[in-house]
Amino acid sequence: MTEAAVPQKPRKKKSKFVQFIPVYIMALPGLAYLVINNYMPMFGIVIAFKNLDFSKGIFGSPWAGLSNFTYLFKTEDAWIITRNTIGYNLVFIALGIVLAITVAILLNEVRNKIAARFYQSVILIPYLMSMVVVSYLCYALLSTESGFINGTLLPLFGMDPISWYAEPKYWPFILTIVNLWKSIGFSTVIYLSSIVGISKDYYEAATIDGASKWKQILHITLPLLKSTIITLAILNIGRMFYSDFGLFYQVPRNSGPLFRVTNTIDTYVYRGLMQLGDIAMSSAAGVYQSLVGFVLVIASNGIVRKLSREDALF
Amino acid sequence: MKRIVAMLLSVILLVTLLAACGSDQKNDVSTPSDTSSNAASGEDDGDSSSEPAGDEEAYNVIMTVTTIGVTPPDLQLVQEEINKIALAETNTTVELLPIAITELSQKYSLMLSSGEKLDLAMSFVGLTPVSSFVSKGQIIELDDLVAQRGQDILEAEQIAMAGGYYNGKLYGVPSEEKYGRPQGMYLRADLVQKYNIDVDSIKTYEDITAMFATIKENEPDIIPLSTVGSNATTFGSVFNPLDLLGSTIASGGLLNAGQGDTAVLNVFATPAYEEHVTWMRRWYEAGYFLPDAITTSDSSVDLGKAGRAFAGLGSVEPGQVSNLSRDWGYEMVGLELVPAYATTNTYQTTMWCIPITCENPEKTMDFLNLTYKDETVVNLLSNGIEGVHYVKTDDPMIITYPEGMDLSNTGYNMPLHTYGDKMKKYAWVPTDPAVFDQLKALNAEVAANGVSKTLGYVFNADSVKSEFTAVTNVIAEYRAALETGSVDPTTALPEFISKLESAGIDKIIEENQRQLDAWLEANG
Repeated sequence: MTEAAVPQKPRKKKSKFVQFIPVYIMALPGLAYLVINNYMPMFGIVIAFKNLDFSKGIFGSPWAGLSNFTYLFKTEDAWIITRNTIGYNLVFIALGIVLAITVAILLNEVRNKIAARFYQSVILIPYLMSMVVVSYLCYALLSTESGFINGTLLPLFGMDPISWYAEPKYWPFILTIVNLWKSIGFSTVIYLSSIVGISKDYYEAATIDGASKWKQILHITLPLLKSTIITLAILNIGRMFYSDFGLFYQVPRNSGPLFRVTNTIDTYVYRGLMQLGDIAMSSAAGVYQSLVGFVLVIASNGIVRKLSREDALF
Repeated sequence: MKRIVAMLLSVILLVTLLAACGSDQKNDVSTPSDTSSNAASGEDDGDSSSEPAGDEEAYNVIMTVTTIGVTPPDLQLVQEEINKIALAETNTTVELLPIAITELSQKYSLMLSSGEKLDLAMSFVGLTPVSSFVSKGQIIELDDLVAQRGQDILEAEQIAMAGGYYNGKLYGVPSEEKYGRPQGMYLRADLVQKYNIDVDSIKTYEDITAMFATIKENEPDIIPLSTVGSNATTFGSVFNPLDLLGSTIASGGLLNAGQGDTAVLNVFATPAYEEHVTWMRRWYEAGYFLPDAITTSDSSVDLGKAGRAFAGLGSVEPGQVSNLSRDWGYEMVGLELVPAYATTNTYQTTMWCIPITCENPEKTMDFLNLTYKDETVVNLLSNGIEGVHYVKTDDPMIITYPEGMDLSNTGYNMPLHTYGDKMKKYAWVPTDPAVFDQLKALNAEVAANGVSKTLGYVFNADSVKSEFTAVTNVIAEYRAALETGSVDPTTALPEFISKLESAGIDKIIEENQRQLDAWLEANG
């Protein structure tokens, strides 16, 4: 590669590298953090396969094969938590994309710059709130005795109070709504920044051709957002087996009768291992979640690559 | 020009990164509970203070001081006072390492896996139980150490030492001054008087129901029973004392506090349990529980303070009722339903353990023994420095704040009293001085008549970990709801029992019985 080239090439290569040195130096802290925090501890995956004995250290502890993983698969609960985790994540991803894009498009249409900024901030605020605070907000609404819904809203419609924290059937909806309310802000901002980057010329040309607003969205905005959507979707798919602990533990206020629809892998591990304090078993859960996520990311990226090469993550 | 600016900026970035690294060194013991700086400071101070002025080698003991999140500002002063005594008596010095109780488990794992020196670790039941320390190989056996160097410990704790055993070896030294606690309810004294309730005549579910009915009828804004929380329990101590065999209810238990039959039972499948939850359901439907009992964010004490509750469940030993009166802000009266009993669990609440990173267990045990022997040291740790943080009243065992000081501005507030021989600990006003003698009498009574047959036995769950985890989850799903009457037991209880069985509770109980029988045979 080097010999056949014009004598100019080596000098060009060198100057490119030199040119980027400041950038590499700036990236150094972040890279160092990534290596130290994410890559170096990877050897810890072995903890999931051992019976951890602190007096012998991680490497001296005896092997346990796959026995630390069995508790995640053995019981009826195992099926329930897996179903819940995956089910909620699928719904969250799908609805999240639809809603975030909708809101982003709408925000883009707002003429008044100041109003647009204001709406954007307001939509983003829930994302920055702690889930614990959100759980108290929900409690203020859903409390059987003193909640807003039971106390004010339902009587307005002449309906009887509902014992919200004891009826599992409402919670898939409640949790979806809470999660969307909280997380939309972030994705909306990302989509909005993409939309803003779309050249106005396309829209002008479309208006001249007589396309309606809806047609414009369908044929200009969405196709040009495709890369962003795919990127965010793949990243979310990688977290398919993870769940927001705050959402599934705090918001339902750890209420037993709701476990059937609110117990996810993370909450199950937390509740089950508090007494045993077994680090190897909880590591096993973590390995399981990340392994599945990894496979899903590779797979979905592979599919995207087949369909439209340039949109794939790698 | 641009390139120079760019270079300059990147250099500044690097320098700030390094500067951030540098500033951790200066922290000392009494800075607030940031986990990483505590680890760094623990290490640094440990190294620096383990060579005191010349002398022969005084060993520095690093001891956990469990806080609820706030490090007392005067911790360093108290440490110096303790060291005067420790150096003279045992040739050791102590370094008090404050750790918030919520971070205890992680902190220990971090410290021990990185080999950091720690001499005295705290075991809190439910948070950092001895069983989890032992199964992770984090602590050492204490049998010989206590036998040779812990005379005062043995004298102070006596039968309470049984709580520290696991797998037949001693791993923890309890700090228990009450050998057992009578269980029952505490009631609002003003309401008891108003409705002429004869507290002594109340013994059965029916009696209590009648009492609650009176309150509910006449005081519509007051909830008779203040039990709340997603982990609330009403069965197991107050109405039907259980012996949980050193573990949790997930591994089964014995009824009658282990003083009767030693066949391990699935407690939830017993007729006694069914009767209890049926009563709880009646109470819930009659409005004796808060409708939101298992989901409310209020605690039992919050309800009491707001004047919204009449009674609470709990222990009613001498001194406890006055504590509760202080918490609720109303005068309370105690109603005893179950006399004091002692099971292994009774003594597992707080224990001192020696981790594997301790460099001199003998000297550490000497220091630990000192905390049980010396009245001054006990009170330094629990109450602060005499004259500075408290002053004595006419009774030598009762203390109060000095002029101008109270809970909000004291330099040393230690809410968790887990140190040494607590019989030597001074009590705060308005405790009745008679409490000390009453406790001694109670202890003698328990030691004579209230001890479980299984005292000293602890279930080892290592071989049934998956089932234990699964069962714990099932219990978390049903127990609080059933025991506060929040769900209908006619449908929920059979569901609960069948789920427990499919999660493997029978396997756990079999294992527990096998271990228990072996232990009973060996320990007669």
